[in-house]
Amino acid sequence: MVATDDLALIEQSLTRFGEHATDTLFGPGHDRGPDGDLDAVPSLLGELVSMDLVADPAPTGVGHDVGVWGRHVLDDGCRISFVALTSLAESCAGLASAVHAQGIGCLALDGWFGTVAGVSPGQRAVTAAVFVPRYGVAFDERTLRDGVRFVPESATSPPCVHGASPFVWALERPDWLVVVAPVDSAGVEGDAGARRAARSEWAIVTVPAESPGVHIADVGARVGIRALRQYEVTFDGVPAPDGAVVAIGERAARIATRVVACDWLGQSAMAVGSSHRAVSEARTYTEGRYQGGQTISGHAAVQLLLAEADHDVAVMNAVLATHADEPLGTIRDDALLRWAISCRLAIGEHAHRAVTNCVQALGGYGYMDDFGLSKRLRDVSALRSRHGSREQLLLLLDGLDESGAA
Amino acid sequence: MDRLAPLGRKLYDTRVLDLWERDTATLPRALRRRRRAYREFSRQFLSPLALEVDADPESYDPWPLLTESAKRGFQSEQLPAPLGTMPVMSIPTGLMFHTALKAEEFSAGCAGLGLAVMAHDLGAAALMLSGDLTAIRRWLVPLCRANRSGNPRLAAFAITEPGAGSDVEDTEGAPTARFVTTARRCAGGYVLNGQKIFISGGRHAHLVAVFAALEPDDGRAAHVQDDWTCFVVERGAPGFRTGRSEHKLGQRASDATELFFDDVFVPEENRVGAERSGWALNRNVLNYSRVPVAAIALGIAQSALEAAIEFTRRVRLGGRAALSYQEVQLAVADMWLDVSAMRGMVWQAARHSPSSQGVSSAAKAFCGDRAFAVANRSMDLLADHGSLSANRAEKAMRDSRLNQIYEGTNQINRLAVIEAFDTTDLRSST
Repeated sequence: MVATDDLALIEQSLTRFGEHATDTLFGPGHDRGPDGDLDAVPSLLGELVSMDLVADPAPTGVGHDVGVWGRHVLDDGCRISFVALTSLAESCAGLASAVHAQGIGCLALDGWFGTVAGVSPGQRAVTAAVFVPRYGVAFDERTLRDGVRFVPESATSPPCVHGASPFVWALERPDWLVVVAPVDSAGVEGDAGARRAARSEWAIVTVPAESPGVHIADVGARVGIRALRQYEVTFDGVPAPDGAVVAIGERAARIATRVVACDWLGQSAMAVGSSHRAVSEARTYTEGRYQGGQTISGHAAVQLLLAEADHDVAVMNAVLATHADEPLGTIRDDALLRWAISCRLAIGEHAHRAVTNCVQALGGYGYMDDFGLSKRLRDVSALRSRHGSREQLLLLLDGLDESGAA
Repeated sequence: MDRLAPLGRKLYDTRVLDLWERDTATLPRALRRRRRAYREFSRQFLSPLALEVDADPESYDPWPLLTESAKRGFQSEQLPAPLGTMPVMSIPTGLMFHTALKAEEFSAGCAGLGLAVMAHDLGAAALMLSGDLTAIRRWLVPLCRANRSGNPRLAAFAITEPGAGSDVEDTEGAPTARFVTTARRCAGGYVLNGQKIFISGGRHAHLVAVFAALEPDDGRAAHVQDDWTCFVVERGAPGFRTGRSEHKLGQRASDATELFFDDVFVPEENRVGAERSGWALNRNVLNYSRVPVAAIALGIAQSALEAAIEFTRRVRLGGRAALSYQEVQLAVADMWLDVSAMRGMVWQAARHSPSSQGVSSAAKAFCGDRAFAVANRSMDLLADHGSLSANRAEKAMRDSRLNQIYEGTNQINRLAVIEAFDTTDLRSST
């Protein structure tokens, strides 16, 4: 549990940073497109590093413990990470996503103390978790052989990582990749093998990004959160020696559950931030513009839109708060996944509706890039598209209820 | 089917036709031919350019496309042959159905490029629907003649102002609309001052149908409903200039441009219809145009549906096509149902000739909302792939969002439905 004073202090710092970031990205005098001045993103991320908000894979770094998705979540719960991501997303969901991606990469390491070739001691390494399958959601038995997998040592070959993930999020081009993958169970008979892999046979493996056999490509034009880097990563039988294996088996499955769940939770927190600011911006606009002889905010049609958006933000906040103060290490896997899926589904319904209602309240101006709400709509749409369709999430949720554990 | 009696077999359509062809087969012959022509044009000229122009609309030169469209007779359908290119056989069904089919097919290829081509129809509609034969002869006939010959000459429709968007599209808001574009009489004509915004096709139009409040003779304050008058302002008129084209969320290949009028002299003969008849003409145009706007939404939804089907057929999940799974099929079927319902509503609305407020506004609001829902469902079904521009679902989401806003927000259109119902005795049909 985090002290209230600590949280207030963090919120104050983030509010100040948010104002500065908003001005830097979107203020006058900057070379801004619809996504703001993306050239300014690295310097803003540097400031967040100096504020210790960006997770650090090196145990010696302060961010290792207190950064977003740093080790503190195991004891303190997710509250601080939520506050940080929500606040950052109020300024720019892409910027928040970059910090989130680094945190998830570090979370996947689970305090691993190994070293990676090419990364100097004390150097902050950009760390990206690789866990999103080509299509579908992690833990769905059908996806286990479609994406990246860990191939154990056999009589003919050493252990290696094989396969591709088209959707790897990172702060910037990664220094190392933390592969969160099922163990290839090709040797185990059919469905039994798939089930075994889904439940327990996972591996967490670190791979230097410059390793032979690793191919990293930009995914191309996308709808939103463009301050974040997104890559397609392919592993072509990349060796995974013992020293690179963070965890395997049940412990790896536990880490994988945390990674997947916290990724969805982080997206939800960012969607809350983006929606909350959208409502605030729409209210300001509608209170200053006139239609039909009164301010726009005086019309029932607009009041309904904004009240619904307020309600949506409240629902998301409530869902997000469910286990926010419980140490992550104490939440059972099934409860964690159920919570995360509920939050992720809430993005689809509530964040998207909240922002689109705000766009509607501005009428034609809401559709124009100058007013910023069009970017927020693109951003929450991108967050909603992240890792799994609504149907896939619901099926996973249903599977949890049946099996009791992922 | 073979086990049925011959008569039973006749009562079941066993032809191998896709659903698009089945729908097309229900249309009168002239419309069938036109629908196929619109689709061919869309697939050949709009769809291949869609992503490139969406990414960089500022660098796009629309004139080759506009010329091709004009050559095929798509820019001169406001008048029947020999003046225009509307098939004489289509006169009974009216222009509306043609325009709706064109909007649907063009938007299925690219809503932005489709709107870039079709913005002219809206400008021309103001001339045609005025019923002012002098204005039709003076403006619309030469436009059709030029377009028929493959020399595109374009019209635009200008009502929206910086402080008056929905107000000038709604009876309730009109009395208090904060407009800035005014006209005052002078020797031989009028002087226009003011500004219009978000004008589709405004950047390239040769003439604009501009609505301005004519200063009253009796010293009272001008009102939109009582004093609006429509004028044709030609490109190059002293004092008339275009401003910036907006950066929009979607339908980016079509410009939404500012127009400025600084002491623009408009000769008497450039007035469309009677003085102070502009509000009625505006309502007439909107009642007409909302059906094609509903059809634009339909076309976008169709493109989102196709993106989902194409993707889920192609992508593999557990060694099988994603579309082979029940949960994917259910999601695609939901989209299909929505698109089918939209098409039914648009085609039914297009049969109303002349157009009526309640029918047009209902189609516009329903299809705008459902198109956005279908596009979002498509994006969601594609999951991470849905956010990639190359898969087109996100473009459909961005494009469809405008259909809930322009041509009157969907809130305004719902109120227009109620306004229309107020004068209808709903019980009379029972």
